[in-house]
Amino acid sequence: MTIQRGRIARLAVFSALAATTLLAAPTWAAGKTTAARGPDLSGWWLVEMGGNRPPSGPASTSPSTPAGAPAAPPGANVSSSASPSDARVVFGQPPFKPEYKELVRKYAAYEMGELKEKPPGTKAFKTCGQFRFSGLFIADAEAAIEFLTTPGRITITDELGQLRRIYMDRKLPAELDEAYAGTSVGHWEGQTLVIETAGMNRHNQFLVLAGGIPIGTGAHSVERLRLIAPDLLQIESLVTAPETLTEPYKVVTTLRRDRNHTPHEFSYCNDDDRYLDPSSGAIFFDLTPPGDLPPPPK
Amino acid sequence: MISAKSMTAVLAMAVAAPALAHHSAVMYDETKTATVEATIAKVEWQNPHITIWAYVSNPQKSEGYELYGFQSGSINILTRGGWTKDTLKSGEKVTIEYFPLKDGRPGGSLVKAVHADGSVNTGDPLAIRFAELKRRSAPPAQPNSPAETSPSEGAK
Repeated sequence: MTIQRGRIARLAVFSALAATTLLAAPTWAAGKTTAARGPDLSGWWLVEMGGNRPPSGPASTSPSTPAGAPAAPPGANVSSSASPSDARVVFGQPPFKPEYKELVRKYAAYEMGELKEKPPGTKAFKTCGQFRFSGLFIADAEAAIEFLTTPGRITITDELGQLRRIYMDRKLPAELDEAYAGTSVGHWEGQTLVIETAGMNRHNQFLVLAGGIPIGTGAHSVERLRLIAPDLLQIESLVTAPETLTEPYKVVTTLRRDRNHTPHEFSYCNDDDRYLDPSSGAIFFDLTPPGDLPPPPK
Repeated sequence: MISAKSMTAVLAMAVAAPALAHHSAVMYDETKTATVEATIAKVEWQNPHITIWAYVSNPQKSEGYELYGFQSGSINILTRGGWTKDTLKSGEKVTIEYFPLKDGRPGGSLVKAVHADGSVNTGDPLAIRFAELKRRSAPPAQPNSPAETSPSEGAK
């Protein structure tokens, strides 16, 4: 009898703890599932890179035009009759604060060969370890991405190993721990997926070739994703970074769907690279030959 | 003097191609290309860049050949362009066009490899496109500066 009472007591305690845990769950805990309300985002999405392989999908595209894409200003609407050749990245000059703008200018000069030495205060881009999100979807210009829909959540992942969990059933909490990927919530506005992200690690670097400028504390991004054609996804990113930028920065990326794409793992970690010294950031080309080369031809 | 065009060109790379642009291409002379007839020794098929090793005839070397190294893009980007790890086979004779290293060492950034049957595999399309962008953004050449060769006029 004593043993039986003990079991009942433990069961009561366990039940009470479980109930307490459920009641004490954060306000952004599971709620109504909305992830599946929007358009079909299945398949792989990528910026066409060119090359001499015929596109595998029906919506072939011409190469993206990242530099010469003046047709539409950042944020411009693209008509629903947009063609696959609209796959591209449209952007303007990031509105850096003066001190950062000068740093970027110097780093640009270094990249262009106008300065021989890497300017003091600039850094090489962090290339190894967990992917760091800085509010711009454009990190996927090289890595094909996919959207995985599960109840209450859309997960964005890509060939680079990026993993972003977009919670569709809650709002951003007022207090957030910093995280490399930040914390993201989403909702549908009609057929547009709106993703809001905050809590990005203050040291996440804003742009790759911008001398290592961090995004800083308090950064926030809003991404609006919508299909502008059956296999064209337009992503409008608006980043606010009060420590780095004077005003919000907008970039529009358009990706093409390729349902037949075979993903290949990708990494830009320089630990295994011949082209950059990860400790110093120095750029070079290590021409030390591998030890297993065949002899020269006779 | 830091030109505004320079900044635009670099930011274009920074915005549009983070992975490609995780390091500078400043060690290459992207204002011109060179071309060599080469025998493939090995392809290091790995991220974030593949490296192609090839022997190029050079009578001034004791073995009659000089070893060249060529950088190209990442596996996923090259694969999208039709490459596989067997695209260039050890012992195969190819014509390689490349942006040469500024320091004169034998090698550079691959523009394209032409096989004996005339088929072509282009290098990293982003690297090639951004090289073109940088050329267009570069300030005009001074009258006494060395002559530049456009990529389409790559000299052997």
